[in-house]
Amino acid sequence: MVKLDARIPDGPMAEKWTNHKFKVKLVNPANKRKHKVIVVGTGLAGASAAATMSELGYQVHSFTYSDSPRRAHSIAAQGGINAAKNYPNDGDSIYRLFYDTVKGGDFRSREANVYRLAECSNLIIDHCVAQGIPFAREYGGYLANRSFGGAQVSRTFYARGQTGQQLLLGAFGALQKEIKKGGVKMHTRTEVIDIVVIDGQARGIIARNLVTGELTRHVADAVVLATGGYGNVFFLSTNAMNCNASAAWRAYKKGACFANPCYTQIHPTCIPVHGEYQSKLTLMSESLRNDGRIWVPKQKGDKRPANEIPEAERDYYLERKYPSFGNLVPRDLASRNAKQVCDEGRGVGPTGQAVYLDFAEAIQRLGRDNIEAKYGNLFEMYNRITDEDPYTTPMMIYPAVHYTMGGLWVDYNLMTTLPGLYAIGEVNFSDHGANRLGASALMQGLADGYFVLPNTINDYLASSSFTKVGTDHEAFAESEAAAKDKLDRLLAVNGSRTVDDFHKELGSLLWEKCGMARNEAGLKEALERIPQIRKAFWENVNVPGSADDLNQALEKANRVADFMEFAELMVKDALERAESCGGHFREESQTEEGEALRDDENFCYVSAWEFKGLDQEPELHKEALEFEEVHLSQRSYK
Amino acid sequence: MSKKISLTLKVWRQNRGEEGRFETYQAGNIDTDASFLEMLDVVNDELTLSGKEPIAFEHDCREGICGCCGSLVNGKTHGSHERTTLCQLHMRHFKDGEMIVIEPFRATAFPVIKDLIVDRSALDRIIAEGGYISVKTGNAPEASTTPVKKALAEAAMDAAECIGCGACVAACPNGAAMLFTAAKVNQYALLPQGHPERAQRVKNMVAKMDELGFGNCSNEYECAVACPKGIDVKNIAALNREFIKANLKCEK
Amino acid sequence: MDIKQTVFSSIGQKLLLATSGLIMFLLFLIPHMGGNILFLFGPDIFNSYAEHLHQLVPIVIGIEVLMMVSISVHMFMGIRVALENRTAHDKRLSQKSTKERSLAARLMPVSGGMIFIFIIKHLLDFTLRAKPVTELHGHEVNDVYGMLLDKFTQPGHVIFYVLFMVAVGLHLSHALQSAVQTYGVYVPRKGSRIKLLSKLIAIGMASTFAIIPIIAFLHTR
Repeated sequence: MVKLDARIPDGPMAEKWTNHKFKVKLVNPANKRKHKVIVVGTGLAGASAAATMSELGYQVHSFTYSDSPRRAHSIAAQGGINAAKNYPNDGDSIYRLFYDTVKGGDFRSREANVYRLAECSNLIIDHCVAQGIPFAREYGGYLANRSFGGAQVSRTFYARGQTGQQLLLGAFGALQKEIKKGGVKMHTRTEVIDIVVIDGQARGIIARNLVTGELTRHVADAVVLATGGYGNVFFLSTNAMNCNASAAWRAYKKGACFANPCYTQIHPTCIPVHGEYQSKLTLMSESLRNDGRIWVPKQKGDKRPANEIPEAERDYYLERKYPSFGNLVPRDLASRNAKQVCDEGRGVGPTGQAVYLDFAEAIQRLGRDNIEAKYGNLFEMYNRITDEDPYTTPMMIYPAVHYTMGGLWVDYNLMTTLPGLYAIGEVNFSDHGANRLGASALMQGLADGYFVLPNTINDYLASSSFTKVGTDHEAFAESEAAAKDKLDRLLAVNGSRTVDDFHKELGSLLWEKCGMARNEAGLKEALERIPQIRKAFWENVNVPGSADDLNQALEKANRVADFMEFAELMVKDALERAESCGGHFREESQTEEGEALRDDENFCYVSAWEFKGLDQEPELHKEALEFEEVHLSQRSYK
Repeated sequence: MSKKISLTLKVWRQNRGEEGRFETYQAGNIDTDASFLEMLDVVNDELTLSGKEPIAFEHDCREGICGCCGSLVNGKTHGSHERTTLCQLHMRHFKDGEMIVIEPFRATAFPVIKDLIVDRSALDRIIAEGGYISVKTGNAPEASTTPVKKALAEAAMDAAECIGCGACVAACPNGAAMLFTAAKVNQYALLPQGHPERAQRVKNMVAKMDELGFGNCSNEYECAVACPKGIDVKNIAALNREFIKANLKCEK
Repeated sequence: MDIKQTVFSSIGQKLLLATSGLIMFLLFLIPHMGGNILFLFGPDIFNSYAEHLHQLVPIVIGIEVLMMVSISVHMFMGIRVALENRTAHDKRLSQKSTKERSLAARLMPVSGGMIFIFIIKHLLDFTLRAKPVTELHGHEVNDVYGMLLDKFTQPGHVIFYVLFMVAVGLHLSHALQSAVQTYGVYVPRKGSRIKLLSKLIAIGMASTFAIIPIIAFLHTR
């Protein structure tokens, strides 16, 4: 039986972190090298944590399924990273960044964590600049900032459209430095298959060498998961192909609570699905909505090309419904409204699942050259993928799954409910509440990895006792046998459908019933269908090849098998949370105008689900959220 | 508008510890809007359901930034388009009935693991020798302490765009990793933060590059054509300068 | 890093290649071409040039020693680099189809080898053999002019010399620009003046050298 204890330090908000750092137990430098820590994942959070802990003297073992730690999907983040530096002198402060993030998260995050995140934001920029990350600069040589959605100040630091790449390469460099020094042992092409628990503590992992198929055992004093979000449960998302929820899911099954799995962020401006064969979706910067006008035909099923539809027969639905914000409403509103018009049968494009984003008026007003200067690279990317010229025909866009705010429940130290198991970056739930603001994901990953975890993990290592165990412990043998059994079972099915086929079926069900808008009936239907799909999967999936070889189909099958289980928890959580908040829109809970309606009376808490066994209902624990600093209020964008 | 095309694929198949060979497959009913990797997905699904093993190829983000993907397509790294990774190459650039030859990146330093997947870990080992600035977390001064000339920051960013895909090595007639190494060395040579370790960085990285079995640059610039991020050979000139300077100073 | 490691590093080897090549180019090839041009001004001037060259024996010997060293270094490094590159490059099976790599670049080892053969033959033809004697301003001098005319009466020789000058041209056109880039001066991929100049010098030098045997041949008709 788990008891949630967030371990939020006492004292005023602004002093909690400083006080906490003083109060946590430290590990003597000579003793640090006696502790082995496993870090799973080499994205921003994982790489930065592994490097920093190695600098402190811990023996770190780092794992990635990629051929190199530099491949993690943090690399694809385009926009930038927030920090409360206030370089533009526009009134920014740590407090304001904290405030914006809590509000942007629709009051479903933990204030103390968010405040710490805002505090660390400045240190991140200092560190990254020292690492030689080529941030954009002004002519005077000082750092440039730009504005981003959800904030009224310019606090976003950026390196062209590749901020994530540059920050990741910085962390990757730090990791390589420690690998060279011998502090980090890197395991590439090695996927974590299970978490090993001994005497109630996370004491190691079972990993699979993806080249030889060999299962290996790794023992440690603490295990850190930095394995990213679960967006790929939807099959189509902007996540990379290999992103998965397996490590987090195995942790859940070993005793770590899973928090708020229903919170997913759906980004409004992605390139629409264009065919059955589609493998992933591509995000287009949100900045396009600054000049593009979103519309669909007024008539249902109007199949005329965009240019032949006269002005009077177009519905600029965002401008119509939200006259003051127009096309610039927040992500969730823009996404939901696009879905609504498409559901009405007014969607455009070959699939009817798209809306127009039209630059004709902007080109007329500002001139083609101006538009080209502003959005040229995005137009080029769109053209490369769709073969259409957005200068002459309107772009087509549709929302897509992009980030997941939910994740493993962690306390203030970022430790899950399984002692010795930590979760950092997107895989934890802590900082973004029900909705993440732009340019905050990079900030959280690096804050956790560089500054938070290396300061909090000592508390556990210094205060816990560790029985001496080796990889010959029976818990390792059991976990390994279970992992092997699962892989063998997947290979043995030898059915008639591919893994992707099942994954697509699950994904489209979730997208329909647990996507941009959810309702009780739909969620209940999904709860019935998921076990059926899962059953069919285990009866009829076809996984070719063997377990003793590089076998991408097997890797995928093993991940999809976990998604099949995870999806159920996600839908359950969505059903349980009968309010609308942030990325979670329950149709039953809306204002008369159709806006999301939060229910602070009944749902101002974090849902943390505890695994109770394969055939048992998970148990819901609630961590009540208290707002001392930012007062609860309803958002309005009319 | 998209249409459907049919192709003949000649694909390199190779198992661990075995000699490889080309095998021929038919890829029918391919949508011209599909990406090259999506075309391979379709072929793999058919192979799977007909009881054959699918083609192993490396891929992840499919947005052209992670650097995982890459094969020789008709003899060209990442296919036929400048500044385009394989995942961003679309099938509309191929003709109906065309034969496409797909083989892995070839270089002695990149041994084939399976089918189209090669081991590029040698690139990471070059970085480990100094492709970073040795700053410990917590060491950093205030970010705006040192101004950096905008032009230098831009030039450093040009170099830093490298995605580590290895196309430069595969395209080089000598299997050299000069462009890759040069981009990293030059990024830190341009920025003031990189100067304290400058001499050691270039010496160590070049020594490691040589040790790992990469060839010698003969300034033929195939790498720059192959680079999906447009990394320029000016970085190689800069690397040469750095190397000369570092050795003339005889710094340890 | 010790000296040996620097010298035998990939960049070190290429710096030595470039340096030895440039020494030969500047101290040997250019003066030699200048001398050859004098052939066009008739036997007296040409023979007198040869005679003066003889009087500068200490310098000539110095240069000859330098040439021997340069050739040795150039060949040693060239062969090493070429062999290493062969090992590093895993041969692809499908056709390679970019046009970036120039013919000259592709043929560097071949043209280099040809030049070596040419040098041997050239030394055997003119330097390492007894020279006829003639009279100039009352002195007895070597009749280099006559020797040359004599040599190039045979069409086979003329063809050999011209053909091998093509190799010199090809070698130089890539070598010059490549050496500049190796020294760290940026030679852009497209529209580079250095590349253009490199080609012009190569063509100019190769044709100046090639024109002597042709003129000599026509002269004796």
